[in-house]
Amino acid sequence: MYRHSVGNDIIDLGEPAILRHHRCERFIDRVCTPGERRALNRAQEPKLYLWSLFAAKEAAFKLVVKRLGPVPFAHRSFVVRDDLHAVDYRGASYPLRIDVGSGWVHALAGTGAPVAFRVRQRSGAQSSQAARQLLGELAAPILRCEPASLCVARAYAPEYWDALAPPVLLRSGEPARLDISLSHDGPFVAAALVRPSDRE
Amino acid sequence: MTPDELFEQVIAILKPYTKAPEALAVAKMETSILADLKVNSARLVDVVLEIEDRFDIAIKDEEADGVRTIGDAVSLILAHVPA
Repeated sequence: MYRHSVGNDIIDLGEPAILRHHRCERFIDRVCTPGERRALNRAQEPKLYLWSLFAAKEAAFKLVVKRLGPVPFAHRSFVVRDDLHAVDYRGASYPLRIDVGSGWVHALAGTGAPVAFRVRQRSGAQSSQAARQLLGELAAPILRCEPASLCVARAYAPEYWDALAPPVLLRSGEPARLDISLSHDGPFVAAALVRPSDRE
Repeated sequence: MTPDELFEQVIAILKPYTKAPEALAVAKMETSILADLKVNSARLVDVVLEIEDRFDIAIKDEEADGVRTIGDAVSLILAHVPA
């Protein structure tokens, strides 16, 4: 495990299937704590606030599994502060950053180290492939290497939901020793990494 | 209800939520809902709510977290609605 970790999540706000979820009581009950629900009721843009909460919980979960292993995931067990600046889980607090763009919201949960991230609308390539390509473009100048020397690997790990461990960045086939996170939804892909000056 | 009947009902529930209809067409009990059928996590919450509605059951968070495959969903329903 690296000293610092990162988790990210992107939501396509234009997805027709989620247009009315901010008015769906049962969905909100399933995802939000009572406190989050109160904050949602006060929000000026409830749809954006709900999906910011959702992305925050997903991002924090991705981070936490790298710190604690494959913990059970229930959205309500990840508690997002009203100001969207942190996510609390099992007594630990993780700094949170929410960014909103044209048609998307992106959440970035970390452990306090500086992180870099990028969001892009993909063109053509499959989502996971496009996210990995974006990560390469983000990481290459930071690591001062060619994007072609970087690749993302996921080891077989049956204890995880998809039987794969969290993604690891390899440089010339060796671990690059900085934590990464990838996300995609609809036409959007996102990549994040802990800046190497703060890695272990 | 038999597992085979429940399998068909789960397939019907998943249909509007999958981004991989071709995988759904050849799905088996061991097919992964997220990895194979490309049902994302937001839609998975919708799937859980749909199962609750259709079978008039209440699914706990920890039960929902255990649903990885179609077979897991069938087993979960069977646990609430015995055959």
